[in-house]
Amino acid sequence: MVRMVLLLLGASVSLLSQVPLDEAGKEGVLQVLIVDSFGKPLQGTFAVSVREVVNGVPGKEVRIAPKVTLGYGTYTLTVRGSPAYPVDKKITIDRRYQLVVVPLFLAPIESPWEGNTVRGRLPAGSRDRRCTYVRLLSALAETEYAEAAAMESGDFVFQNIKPGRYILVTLGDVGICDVVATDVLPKHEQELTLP
Amino acid sequence: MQAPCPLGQYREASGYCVPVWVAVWDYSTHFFSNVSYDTWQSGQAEEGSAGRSPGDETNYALSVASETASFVANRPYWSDTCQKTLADIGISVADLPSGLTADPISRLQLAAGSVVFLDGTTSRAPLGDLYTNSAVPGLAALVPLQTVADVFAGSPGTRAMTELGGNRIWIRPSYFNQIGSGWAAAVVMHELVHNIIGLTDDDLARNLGITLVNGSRDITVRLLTDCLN
Repeated sequence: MVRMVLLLLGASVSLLSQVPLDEAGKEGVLQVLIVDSFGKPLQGTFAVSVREVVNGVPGKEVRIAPKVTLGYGTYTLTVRGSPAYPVDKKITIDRRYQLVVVPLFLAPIESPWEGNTVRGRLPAGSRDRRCTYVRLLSALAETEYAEAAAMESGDFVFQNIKPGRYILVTLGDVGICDVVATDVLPKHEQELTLP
Repeated sequence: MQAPCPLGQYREASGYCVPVWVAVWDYSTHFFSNVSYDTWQSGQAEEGSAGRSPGDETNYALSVASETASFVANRPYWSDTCQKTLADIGISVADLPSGLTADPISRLQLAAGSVVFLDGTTSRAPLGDLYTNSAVPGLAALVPLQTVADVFAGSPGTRAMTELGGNRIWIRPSYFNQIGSGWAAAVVMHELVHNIIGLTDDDLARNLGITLVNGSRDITVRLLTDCLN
């Protein structure tokens, strides 16, 4: 009898360890903060919607307010506000309160966007340490980034960089040399201001 | 010092004066052809199609665009497919101030009746003006400080450009003077959609469920296929 109980107990412990915590019925508050590519909060008319992703398949699109209570789970969050590029973001609601920052980048009325040219010169420290690889990353959107190799002189060029706030990272054999914040302005051609 | 060559000729390295050839757009064949300077000059004097002055070319293109809009405004028959495509693209059924309800086709036709065409290659209108009626006006601050003419000059692929939520359309005259009437109607319809619902190409493409491979053109092709065939 004791052996039987121990067996059942062992089986139930094993079963518990395999099944994820039941989060059915749990809800969290999602707040969507919509900003421009420089991080400034935007006012206007936005279409914010979510589609719950179940077993990798997105469900029906549901319009939501920028602050909403949702059941725990994975969603595709979509934010649209003309004249911005539409944004899709995968989010997981697994806490009682979460904030999602959605940066909107200006889209051209007519596509394709005839891009800009952004020039720069490596910071002195990077030149000295031969950190000639450059990454330009949007400070707000993980999808917006560009990479380039600087010339012998330390000059580098990026093309088709949407205006906004960026983080410039220089790399070389020693690893990361410099991390600098810089702005790409709404200009057809420009020189980045770097130390 | 050698005497200058006669008008319409230039001096080759050999020292001889030879005729200058001028590339002109042939409106009948839709190709450039080389003609002698003299022929070109006489064509200019006759104001023939090959020698249309820039001012005439602009006026002609603007009249082509206006006639095209008039065709769209007055066309009596539109297919159900077109009605659906316009609804998909984002033109909803709307209540008019008159109390009447307008379906997507009617809204397109109303917009076609009030559109104003301008020459994009010479317009000094600030680019930011095209964005002021948009849903998120704050983004207009990120528009480069350029004029519409600057954009047309810097972007040879731009054939037309529209005010979001307004009634102005800027065109590239040389383009409108060489396209066929069916394609012109599709281009004008595309621009009218920007006027009516104030969305950019990326939003229109998303509404139609298409990915822009050839840019703006893909939306125009869809309108041509669904509405003008």
